[in-house]
Amino acid sequence: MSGMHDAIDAIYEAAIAPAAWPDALQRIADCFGDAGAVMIFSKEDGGFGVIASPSIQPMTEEYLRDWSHNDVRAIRGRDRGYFLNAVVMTDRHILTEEEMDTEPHYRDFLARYGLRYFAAIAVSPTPLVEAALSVQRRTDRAPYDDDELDVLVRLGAHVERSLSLGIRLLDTEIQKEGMAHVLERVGHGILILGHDGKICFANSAALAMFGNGFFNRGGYLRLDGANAQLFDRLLTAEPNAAERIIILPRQDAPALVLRLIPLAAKGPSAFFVGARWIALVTDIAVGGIVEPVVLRDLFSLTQAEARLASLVGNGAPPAEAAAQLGITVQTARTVLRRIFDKMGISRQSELVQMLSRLAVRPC
Amino acid sequence: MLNDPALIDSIYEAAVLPDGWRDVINGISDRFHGKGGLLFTTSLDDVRWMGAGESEAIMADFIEQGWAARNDRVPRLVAKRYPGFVTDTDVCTPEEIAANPMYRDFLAPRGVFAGAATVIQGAAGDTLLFSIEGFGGYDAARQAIPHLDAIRPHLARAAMLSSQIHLERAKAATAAMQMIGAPAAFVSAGGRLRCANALFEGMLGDPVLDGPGGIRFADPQADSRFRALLQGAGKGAPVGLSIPIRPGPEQSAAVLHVLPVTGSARDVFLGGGYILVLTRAGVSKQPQADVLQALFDLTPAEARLCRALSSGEAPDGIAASFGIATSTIRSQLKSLFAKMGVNRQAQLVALLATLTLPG
Repeated sequence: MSGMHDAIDAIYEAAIAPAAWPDALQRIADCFGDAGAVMIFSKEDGGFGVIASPSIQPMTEEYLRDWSHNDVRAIRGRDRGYFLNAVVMTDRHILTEEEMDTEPHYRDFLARYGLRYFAAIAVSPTPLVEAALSVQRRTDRAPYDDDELDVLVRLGAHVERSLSLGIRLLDTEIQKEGMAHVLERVGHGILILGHDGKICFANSAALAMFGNGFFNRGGYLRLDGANAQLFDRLLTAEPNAAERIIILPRQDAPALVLRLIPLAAKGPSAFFVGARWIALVTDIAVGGIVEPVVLRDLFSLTQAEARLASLVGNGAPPAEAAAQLGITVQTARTVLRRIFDKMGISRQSELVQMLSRLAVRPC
Repeated sequence: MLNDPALIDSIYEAAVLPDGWRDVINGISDRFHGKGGLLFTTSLDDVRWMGAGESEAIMADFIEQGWAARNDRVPRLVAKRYPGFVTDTDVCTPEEIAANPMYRDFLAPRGVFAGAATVIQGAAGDTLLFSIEGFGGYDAARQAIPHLDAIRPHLARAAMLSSQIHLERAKAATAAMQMIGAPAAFVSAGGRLRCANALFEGMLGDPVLDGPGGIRFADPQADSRFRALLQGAGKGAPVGLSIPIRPGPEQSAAVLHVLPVTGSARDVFLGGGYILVLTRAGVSKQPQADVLQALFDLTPAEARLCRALSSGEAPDGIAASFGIATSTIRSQLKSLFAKMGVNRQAQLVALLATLTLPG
């Protein structure tokens, strides 16, 4: 059967690039000379989600709008367990030719697009979500024979494996070599949350911050006090960016800042894992320090100027910095004026601002 | 012989499991009673290799004893560009093999004179060499080749996945940096740009330059320190560094943080490399008064005071410009600091700076 290698190549490319699934489905259809192919996923509300090859994309919009809740093939297939086992299914397994002539799904929908026979195989990598790969054939072609069904079984095995890789990649993306590690180095705690606040991942910076206005209850992120309701609302609503910040006040320490950033799973993985959130938690009291030597080179400061600039830039008032350096407050103020000149600023708060984003925590 | 689902599963899993490729090579080699095998990846910057089974120690000795520099098997194999497995006699004549001390003095005594290898072209100019070592003889290797060719497409796809996953992880890291407003990029071990977030791309031209030789910096001191770091790596564990980039006529000062991509040195697909994060000294925009009120439960007066403080004005000056008594300002200040959980102006400034990150 020509085109199988191309189809399998495309199937695995889609594991990493979910936008490539429609193209992969097209190549699957090409293996059979068929009109098109779809992947169909069962949803919690009883309906079905669909990803389609471009050739039959127009009909899938009508399908989702009018037919997904009474798709006789999907319903009978699911009732007879075809979604959950690896047995290939075609029309003759679940319908007679007479039924195909009279069933509204065939007569009023498929026929209008010039389609009739289909073949399908379950491809779900997890029993929690039912998923199937299906190819669609034009009315002028004969039903699928056993050889063709064998081909679909083989292609289905690759599709299932690719879906499984895609789901696992979602999690490995945020592992040590990826997001979480780098964000940790710049001082941010990060949590990956499921759509209902379930904690999928927390880096060690975030773990260290638990108990300061947020906590883990049974694997779910929960916030203290009035923030609890606010948080629940944010998880379910479609808030704009400004509203996705929650302040977590603390005793005797600056407040933590928690920001929610939506992270939608792309492509088929969205059916398996649902939308997620990134919760970014920042604690300014644990930020990095800008080393004097860096400041010295950056702004051509002397060693003494750099030491003072580092202390003051990290929040110490001049009197405190002077005490630490063993100089008088008067001297400190004089040196600060020189520092400001060299840095092109005029006040201490500008120094703090300038440095507040320069720091990276040593690992 | 090799077409069983469990082996094929393991080939694709090699992309996501840490020791996956070693298991694949050993799984295949065992079926032919071989001695494991090797995996080489070569890209523009360097060559990395991984050994499985007995071949791991043998290869280490091979390199240490200096044979690797004199070995022309690999270049001949790559030059052939043959889309399948071959054995030694397909690449060298029997006379060449008999005359080659490498076979006589090193490979034959260790039982690895007959192997089956193939070259696979990867993404982005990478080349992969995959070999099964330690067949009983060239006939045995030749008999294995049709079976190996049958699974070669799976090996090729899994190799493609493996190298792409590495890049995807780096992209995720740079995307995360975008979230917190930091320009970031991923460069290879040799300093070549592999991917960058939008903020970093905006800095190309000044202070970062991207050329055919890799990433350079307009500031000569920063540039030479960056080059030195790249060249020094490979001697022991790679070390990260913070390199100051001095302000230019139109650019504010910045610090380049070079974070080595960690991972097992044996992972041939990681290929080393660095995440570059450019943190820039700069004065950030202020949050709106109504946002401040909502976030910290401030009164309008407190929000106004907060914004004035965050731009660095002293309380006495604020009292004068607002036209109210200093004592009033001071009590508002107390309440404001309490609501924000800070006890000095500098902390207030720093706290507000975290709020103005793009999200």
